[in-house]
Amino acid sequence: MLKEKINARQLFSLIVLFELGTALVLPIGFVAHRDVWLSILLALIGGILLFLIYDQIVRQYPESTFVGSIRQIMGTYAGSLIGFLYLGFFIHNDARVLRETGELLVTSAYDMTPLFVICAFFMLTVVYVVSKGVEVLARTGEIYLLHVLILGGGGTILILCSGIVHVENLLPVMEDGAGKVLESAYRYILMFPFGEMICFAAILPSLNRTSSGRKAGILALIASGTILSAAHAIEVSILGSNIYGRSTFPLFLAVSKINIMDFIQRMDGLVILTLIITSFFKCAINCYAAITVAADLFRVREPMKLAMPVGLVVLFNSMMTSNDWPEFALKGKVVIMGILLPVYSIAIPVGLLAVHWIRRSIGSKSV
Amino acid sequence: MRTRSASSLMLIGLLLIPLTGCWNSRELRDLSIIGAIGIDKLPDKPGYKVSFQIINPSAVAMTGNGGGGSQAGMPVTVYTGTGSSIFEVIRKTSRLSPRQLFFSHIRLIVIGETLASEDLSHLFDFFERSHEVRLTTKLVVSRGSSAEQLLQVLTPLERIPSDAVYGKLESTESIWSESMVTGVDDVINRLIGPGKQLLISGVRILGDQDKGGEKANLDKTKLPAEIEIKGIALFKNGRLETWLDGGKARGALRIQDKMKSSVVTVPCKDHDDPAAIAAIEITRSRTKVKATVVDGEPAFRVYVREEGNVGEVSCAVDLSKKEAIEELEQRWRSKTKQEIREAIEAAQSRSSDVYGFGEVLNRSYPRTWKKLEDRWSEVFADCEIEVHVESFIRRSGMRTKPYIKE
Repeated sequence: MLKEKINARQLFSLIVLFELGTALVLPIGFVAHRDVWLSILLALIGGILLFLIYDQIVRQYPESTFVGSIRQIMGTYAGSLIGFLYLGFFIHNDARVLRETGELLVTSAYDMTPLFVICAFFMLTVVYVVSKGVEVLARTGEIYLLHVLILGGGGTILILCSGIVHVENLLPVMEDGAGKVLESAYRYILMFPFGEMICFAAILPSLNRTSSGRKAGILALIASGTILSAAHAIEVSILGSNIYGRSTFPLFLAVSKINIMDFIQRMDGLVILTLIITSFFKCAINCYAAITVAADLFRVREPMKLAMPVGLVVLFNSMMTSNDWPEFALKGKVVIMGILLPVYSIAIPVGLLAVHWIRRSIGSKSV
Repeated sequence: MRTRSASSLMLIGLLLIPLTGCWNSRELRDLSIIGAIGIDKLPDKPGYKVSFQIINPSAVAMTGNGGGGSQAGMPVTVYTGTGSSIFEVIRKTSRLSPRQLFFSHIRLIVIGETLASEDLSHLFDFFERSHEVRLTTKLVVSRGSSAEQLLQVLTPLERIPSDAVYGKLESTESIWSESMVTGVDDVINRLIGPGKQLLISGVRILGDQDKGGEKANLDKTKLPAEIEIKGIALFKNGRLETWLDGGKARGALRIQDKMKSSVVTVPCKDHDDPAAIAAIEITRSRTKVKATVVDGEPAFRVYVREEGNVGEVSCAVDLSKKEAIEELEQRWRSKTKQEIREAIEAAQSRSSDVYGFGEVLNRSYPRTWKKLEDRWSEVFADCEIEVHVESFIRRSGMRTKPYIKE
């Protein structure tokens, strides 16, 4: 089952693209406003810790899949139950990513096109790539990381050259006190986007050299955290914290203000392209995690045959999850960041690791 | 293998279909490109009168033909509609316009003076929410005429009037620095808090307003109606309070560190001959505003450092002598100080902090700002603001002593 292997560089690209995902374009600093860049850096530390926890769990059972490891720690029945919980979570998270991307595209560009059409086409490509296996996905990720870095680097150069950055907008730092910054970091940003790394627990077993995987993962998190922090700092300094906090797509607004010599204008295409690429990988990785977990639970011999059914379920789930954007955003804040992510990305993994250590120490004592 | 190539061909065919993006396609022939929007108050009921200056691309393209361009028609057309919301009027105007109005290229938003005198803070939500309208669109207030009339005036050198006004605005901000360029996002950021109120440049029609829209307006060398950028409107909480003109307007730009270049005229010599002046061209000007808090009361210091060249004199002052230069610097300094003082006085007398002193306080002393934020307008009116100016004349052009003999 784990015949495919990905190397450390591919893991790096996948993690960076995943973390940039939709977090790059959404105003994740809706609590901290000006200090969002600080919150991201603080949450990064927590994110690295979480990643180490997931890596540790997977490392204990190098020959098993994620579900397999859970089964070995908790026993077959409890393990399968937890596996089912994760299956539901991964599918719903994937549906949320899909819906988010579709809504952003509709709001900014495709306003006459039905949401279902955009999501369906998006999901079709995701399913196609994922059905080829994780190796293909990882190789695609390597290539697209380069694309995103070029787009991002080019966009940043244009922004800096057009004189629209006003660093004063970032001052005063922590005007509402450090409390808001910490709350924003650990209640919200740690969950989204860093908590969603739990999907990588399903990919980590496919690493060929587990030792460099850990280093690559940490480096990737630091890189993506720094990029996110810088991007949001630039957004706030261009738009001002008020407009930033109230917009649905602040990166789009920031880039649309680029005006160099009245010639280079309206570089919106850059942002939409970045959004599509990074969301694609976030969606694909979530989808892959869902597929492997399902294949494990239902003892399917060829996991990739499940790609299309899971894709369909995700598509319809994304349509049905909310009636409108405000409801969707509220669900994200209250349900996902408030309940689901803390449980699935912090509580259960910490619990698993704890049970594992307790069992091992009891086991060694009894011997 | 045949089935494989057949199915892949079919797949390629199927994939080509969504590439056309049909659902959201808008043909260029179906779009009216708007250059500028004008918003006026309705005289008798609530709601707006919105005018659209639509660019006629075929007329603009025929740039070479001066007199022969009459076949292509006017470079712009103005349609007007009324309604209770701007979005509503835009769609309603489809009853007049042969094509759908397209906003992505909009350069200018003109607000009528009567509307600005009432309240313009509610106007901008549409421009924020729409993904077509850019945040870089510039705003002006039409002075002495309605926005609708302003949009109708044709301009000689630049065929599209909205481009002409845009060009005038940018150009005068950089070389005369008595007007400022304000974008929509600027306005929104300034409408939010008392820490920085609104300033918008004014535009007026010089000459005969009714003749502005006629083709005959362009057939003369000196036009009967012309658009001029004049003055800056000072707002308090979204309502136009007064106009800043001349030195006050320049002072206003200086305080915000927006002075790029200008010409300052100072008296040449000690005698009171008003014709004896020296004109100094400002080449560089930097302003820093610093806040201090004394016994819980805020005070500000404005530091201005400017450099310039002597560009013209009409008396026999010997510019090769250091003392003459120093004297001129002294007079320049006092004139700059006076302009800035007048600008501050205009804002303080109206209790409207248009220069962002509140924001400066927030950045350096956030806790004091929090205490004073709610009544900042009153606190600002009594604040002590010191002005320190340093002026340096560096050069005098291609000559030293003037040819004028006393």
